Amino acid sequence: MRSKILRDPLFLAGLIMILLIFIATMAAPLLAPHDPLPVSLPERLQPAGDDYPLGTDSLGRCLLTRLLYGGRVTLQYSLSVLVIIVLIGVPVGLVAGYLGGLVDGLLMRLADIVLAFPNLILALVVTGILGPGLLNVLIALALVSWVQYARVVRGMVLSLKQKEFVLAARAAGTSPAGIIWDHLLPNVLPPVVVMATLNLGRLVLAISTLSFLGLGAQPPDPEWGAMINEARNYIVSQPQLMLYPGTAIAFTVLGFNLLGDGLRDVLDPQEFSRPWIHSFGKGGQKASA
Amino acid sequence: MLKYLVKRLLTLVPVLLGVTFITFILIDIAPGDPAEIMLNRRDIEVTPENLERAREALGLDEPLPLRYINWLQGAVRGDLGTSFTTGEPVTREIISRLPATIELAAGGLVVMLALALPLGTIAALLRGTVGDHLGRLTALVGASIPSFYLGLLLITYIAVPTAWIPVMGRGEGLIGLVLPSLTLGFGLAATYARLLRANLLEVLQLDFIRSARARGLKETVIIGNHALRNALIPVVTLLGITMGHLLGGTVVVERIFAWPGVGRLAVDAIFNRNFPVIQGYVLLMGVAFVFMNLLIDLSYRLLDPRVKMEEGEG
Repeated sequence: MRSKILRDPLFLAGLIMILLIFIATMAAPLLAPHDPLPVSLPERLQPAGDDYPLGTDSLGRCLLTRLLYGGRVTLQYSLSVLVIIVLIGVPVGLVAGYLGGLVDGLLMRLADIVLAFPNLILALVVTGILGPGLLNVLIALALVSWVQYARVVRGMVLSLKQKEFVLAARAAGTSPAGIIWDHLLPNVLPPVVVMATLNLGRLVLAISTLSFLGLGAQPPDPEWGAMINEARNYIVSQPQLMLYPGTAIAFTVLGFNLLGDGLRDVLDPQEFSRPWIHSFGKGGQKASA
Repeated sequence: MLKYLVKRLLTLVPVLLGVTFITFILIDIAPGDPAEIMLNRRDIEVTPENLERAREALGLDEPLPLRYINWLQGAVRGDLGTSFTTGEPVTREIISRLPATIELAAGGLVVMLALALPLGTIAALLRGTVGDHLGRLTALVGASIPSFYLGLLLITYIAVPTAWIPVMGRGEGLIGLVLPSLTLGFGLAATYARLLRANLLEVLQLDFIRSARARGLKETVIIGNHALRNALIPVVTLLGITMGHLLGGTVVVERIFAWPGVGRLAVDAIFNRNFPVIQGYVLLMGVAFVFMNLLIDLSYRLLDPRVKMEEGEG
């Protein structure tokens, strides 16, 4: 398995891209030539030069510095949301799927409600009602996203718990907690890893989109989507102001997508990434693409 | 068929009730007093008497469950309250903005299908070749570009230099719809083409294709007559998955192109803390999304004889 994935050039490209972005943004305080926040109007809209490698923005702040710090914000918040939704979604899915009953019924009703909505719209409305700000974006995205994990994990558990190794463990008197921890969790993790990797790309997009709309990062804090929003009045005369953060977002999301795509080829359990197979499952086809 | 339809429609009721109730609770715990916000938005002086009157008008002196029931009763009659900013009925504001959004969504859908159907089919046919890998890479890149960035790129490098495509707003005929539709449909097309490719490949593995091959039918006949027709079934179902992204995308695209649709109305309402409009928007989107999925579900059930109408879940 390891050798197969390392032979996939697109996966490797994604890995390198993500490592680059991580190193560059996490080392922002070391790499950045300036302070990201102080405004200096005399130095506004400077072209790239020795002092400012990428020039300055409309408020005279170093573009490179803000790009590095902005990426930190985007990545930190994306990862935080991901950790929260995995930590909530996976246990809930495990317990609901294995124990069934009331917990399961409640979960499925909740999932119906949340999944009945376009994710971005729900996140937009929740952030909008709570008020603009990155913390509220984090809360909104976590609220609308964890259910997907719970539902996928629950679905996997439903089929796993009929498998012989689980039945054997049960017959041997293993407690439900023991079965969930020792037998179910290891089996649901690989698809969750794929899902999480692909999800990171989507979270980066969601956070930068909400920031672009003015609901996420608030000025003067740098964030890629917010930087593009600030650049809107200058797109014709100073297109570099939006080109750098825009390309940075696309580069990062592409990196995560390449990683996820490569991982899926190796780890993919069919039923997880191709949900529609169930919808006409009576045909009984075993896909082997 | 009718029985199935009724059953499906009935399951929608708790979903819509749930979503609107959650929005209600969120608005209730959100910072700011709606009565005060309304007075501020309408430039009415905030005095204790005015506050009291506003509270009464909004029904804020009643407990939350009762307020929700009142709102529901109004909603059933098509009355969603009045906008804090304009004082107009929310229903009228939404309806006046709806055609623009429908137009945009339709445009985005056309772009998506026009790009994705040929690309997905070609990628499946060229499976494993350089062309397929290029297609995969293109799709991944396409899905990675945020739509707001793509929209600004189109404005900067196509609309402004050529000067014959209107950059902002609606109303100059179909030409004004081109860039917004492209912005909306492009990223969706990338994802959709990949899904289509995967589906076609799966269909090509099926027994009836193998037997068609064994019978010595030409590959073009197999693809055209057998595989594509079968792949179209999940393609219709997949529309349901992309529909949510399409609706979500309209918000962003409307903002960039100053498109006067409901998405823009909603974003403005969010910044003004115009709660009745937000609430109305949530209801509209819930209804729209749920009904689109129902339509899709029905149509693929009609396409695929294997699926019995009685089956509960879709």
